[in-house]
Amino acid sequence: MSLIEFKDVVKTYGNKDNLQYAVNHVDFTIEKGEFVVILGQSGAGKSTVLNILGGMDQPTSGSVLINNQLISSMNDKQLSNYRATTVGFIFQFYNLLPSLTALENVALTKDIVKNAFDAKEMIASVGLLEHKDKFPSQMSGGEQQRVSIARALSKNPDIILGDEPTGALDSQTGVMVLELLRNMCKERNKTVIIVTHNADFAQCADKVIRMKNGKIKELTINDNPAPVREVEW
Amino acid sequence: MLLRKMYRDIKHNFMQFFTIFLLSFLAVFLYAGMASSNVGIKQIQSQYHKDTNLADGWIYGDGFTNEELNAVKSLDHISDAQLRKMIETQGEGDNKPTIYLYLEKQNIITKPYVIEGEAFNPDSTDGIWINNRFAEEQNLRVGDTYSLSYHNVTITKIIKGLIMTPEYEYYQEKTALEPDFSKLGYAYMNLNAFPVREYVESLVTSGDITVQDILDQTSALDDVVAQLEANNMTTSDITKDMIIDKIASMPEDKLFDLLPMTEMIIKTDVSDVLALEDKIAGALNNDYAVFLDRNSQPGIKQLNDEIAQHDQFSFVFPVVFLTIALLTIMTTMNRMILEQRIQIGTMKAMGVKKRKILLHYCSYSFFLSTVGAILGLCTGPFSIGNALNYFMPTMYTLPKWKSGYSSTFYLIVLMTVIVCTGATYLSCRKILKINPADTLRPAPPKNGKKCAFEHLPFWGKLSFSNQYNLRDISRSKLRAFMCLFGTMCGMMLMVSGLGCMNTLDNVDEWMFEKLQNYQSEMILKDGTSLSDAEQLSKTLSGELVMTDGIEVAVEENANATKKVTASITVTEGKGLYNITDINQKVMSLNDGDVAITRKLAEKLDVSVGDTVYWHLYDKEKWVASKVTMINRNPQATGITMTRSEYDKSGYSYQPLICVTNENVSNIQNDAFAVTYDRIDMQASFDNSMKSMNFIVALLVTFAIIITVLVLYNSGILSFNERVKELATLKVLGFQSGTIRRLLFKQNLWLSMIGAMIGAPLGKMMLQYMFDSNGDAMDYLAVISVQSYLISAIVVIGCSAAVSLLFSGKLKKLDMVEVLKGLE
Repeated sequence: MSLIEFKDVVKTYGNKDNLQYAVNHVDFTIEKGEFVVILGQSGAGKSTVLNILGGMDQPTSGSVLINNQLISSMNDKQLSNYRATTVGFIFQFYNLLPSLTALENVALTKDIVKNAFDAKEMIASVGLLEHKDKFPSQMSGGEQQRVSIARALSKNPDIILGDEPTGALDSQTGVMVLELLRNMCKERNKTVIIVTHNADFAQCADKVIRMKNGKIKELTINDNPAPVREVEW
Repeated sequence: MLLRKMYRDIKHNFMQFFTIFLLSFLAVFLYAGMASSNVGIKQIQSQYHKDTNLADGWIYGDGFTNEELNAVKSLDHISDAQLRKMIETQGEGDNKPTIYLYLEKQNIITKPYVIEGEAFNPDSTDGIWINNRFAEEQNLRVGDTYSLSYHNVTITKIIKGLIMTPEYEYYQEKTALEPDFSKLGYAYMNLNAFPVREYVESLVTSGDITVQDILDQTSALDDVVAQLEANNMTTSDITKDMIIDKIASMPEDKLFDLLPMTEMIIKTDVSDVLALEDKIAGALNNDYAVFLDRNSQPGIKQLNDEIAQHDQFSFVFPVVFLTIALLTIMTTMNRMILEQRIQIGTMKAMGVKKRKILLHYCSYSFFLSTVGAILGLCTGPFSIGNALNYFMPTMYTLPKWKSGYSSTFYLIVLMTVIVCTGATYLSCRKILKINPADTLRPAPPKNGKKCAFEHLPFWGKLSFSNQYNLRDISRSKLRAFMCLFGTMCGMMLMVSGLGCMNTLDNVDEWMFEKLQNYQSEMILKDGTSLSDAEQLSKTLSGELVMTDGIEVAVEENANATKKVTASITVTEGKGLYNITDINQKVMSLNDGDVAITRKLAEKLDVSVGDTVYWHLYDKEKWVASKVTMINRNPQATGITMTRSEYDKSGYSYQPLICVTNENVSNIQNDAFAVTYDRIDMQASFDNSMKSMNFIVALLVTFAIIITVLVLYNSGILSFNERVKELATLKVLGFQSGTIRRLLFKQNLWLSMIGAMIGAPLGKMMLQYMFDSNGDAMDYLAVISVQSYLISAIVVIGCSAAVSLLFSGKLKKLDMVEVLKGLE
């Protein structure tokens, strides 16, 4: 059984007279340990798919099975629990709490899950031990994103979701972050799903889902994904 | 981690959160401070009453016998009763002090509280126990000899103890405006130690007592009457010398019949003592004048009224400060939650539970309000409480003064914390209902719609800054309301504070230029004959005035629950001792006029044309008088009439004072005991009002604090809400000064409106404060134009000063950073 089963999911906004389909009958599956990239232009519906996978939004119809849990019919409390234990989210603009240091932002997960990894170890794993006591405003974009990744991983989630994780970074830093994510996927057997509009990402992915106007335009499986460093950006 | 976030967020928005802390602190500080004095007084008073076995009821009459005492004692619910006699004597000293001397054969009820020396011994033949405050003023000590005079009889005893009694928690001379402890005191003595023989001889010699009086009141002359009848003579043949000879040989206990016990004090086991009046009246065959409970005893009532006023007033401050705290928290937390929207969304995305996020934000106000409230609770009683206790002894007498704590204080602390935390809860609740995905996006802009001001016909003609500010007020109603409410409260407190001084100046003028239209007041000696008094008045072109205590009701022979204790003033209508109407305009009092004070008329529900019934305090005969005028007096409640009207009552006219505009400093006359001139009396009044300075300082200080806090917070919120717009204006080319004036304008409008609303409310609050001062006072709240102007200038000045604080922020505004936003 697949880790993620997205079945005939529809997400609409607006009222009967002005119904907008953000996601329009989308189906796909994702296996454990896959590095998946969802590609599409602005308004394609990729972020909506990610939000539904992350338990931050509910589909209008359809079902979403993750790890045998039907998250599409969960209530608020159950979704909160799901987000705490199953998902680690990485945002385009990092979304670190500005009044906490790098270490404290990662250590925050200890208040969420009992078995969170040690914050110092996680910070070290992203190469930022010497910056652990800095506030987000004192760090570069790449450093902040690495902290965000450490935060996401510290909960030891089954799935890591990234919404344009390199969108606010320069290309060199973006490559570094992408490589980190790819390594996390392979070394720790995490399922990583990245949403991006950058088609170059497809070369590194195990699976590429191309979306347009709320529908899946193409789903390709990459038998030989290229290492991040070998891709021409 | 969220705790650290809280500390750092508070530090980052220090002034706004400090405001919440300060408002919580002030709400509890002021309440606990003012109430602690009351709590302490009540605790001490309660113990004082218990220690002295204070009477529950007082019965006054012409004279009570032992049989009547036993009859009352035997009634249900009467646990004990005792007789005593009070006489008004004159003490030693140039100022001819008055001493109320209590003569008792036993002392089981209302026992004097010993400050120094021995406990009162009603069997002592050579001792006298004097109240300690008088003793302090007169430098008297235990062991000193002290003399009192009464009806030409001198009583000289050794001071065995310095005492106080709850019946004199408040006391002042009849004509005084405030207590002067050097001029009035009280003392206790054994009845049998009173030189009754000399006293009766003096009464007979002076003609104050006649043969008929002796026959009516005693059996002392019964055998003489029998002898006369045996010799075909009548009582008219009895001469003074015969009586004096008889007195010399009479046993003292018979002579004491001429010094009857006019007071009976009782202890009961019921809370409603006045409900026993009918039974007591029956036991006494209705042969009594007045029946009072503790609530009606003037010496106790005055302090209780003051405590009640403080109690009422102490609630005003927490209500004002908590309301402002509520508004500040709601606006501050609303703002903060909007600013931290994405952080909230991130926490939700991470799986932080809603409850935890809610608790986190509620903890801001919970922590600050708890610390503020507890600090207020700890410091209020020690500062304000002790300050009030410093002033109270100038007017009142208790064994000691201390602040106390009550469970209500903790309730106020709890209420403060609940209000503050609850306000935050209401601010947070909305955003937590939004799903995490939407929370991660910036809030959608508010729907653009026309504000109400845009419907004004001259909207198009308004300048950009006016339109901009009106739209902003419409958009941020809560913030605008906070600014308005805060400045309204500030103005109200300021006007009340300054108005206090104006009102006291007005009372000064009212008393000493309208009511008491004379330069000197001469207190007539006790026992001065009416002819001597009239001669003195004629010599000085003065006016005789009588004042006495009365009970007044709307029906004759009313029982205690329907009577009101008041005073009667009898003048000669010569224009030196006046009355004024409710607007302080002097009224002519003519023969046939009976004026009743406004507060008394309201209490009895009478108006001009109605009839009231009254009797002198220690007399039983009721008199009907038709009310022809309603007057107003700042310091007295009662009825006023001319001498000719009083004479119709059947009571004998006994003037207390002679007032005149003549210089009396060199006058030698046996008729008067002491004189006071106007300057002294005014100085005395000013001195008594010193405690008001403290209240005024308190009101003005907190008015400024509230105004500054509210305006500053409103300014910060306004700035933060509009920082992008202000940055845009800067980019467009507006000068910082222009933008500052733009922000200042809104604050100025709201401050002016707040000041305009607060001004009349300040007068209302001041009048309420004076009206809650009990029945005895009837001040008219007067606020000068100058006070209004000063208050308005201070409030608007605070507004300007706060705006200046923002000029620095505007200059430093980084347009690029603000307009870049997330990018």
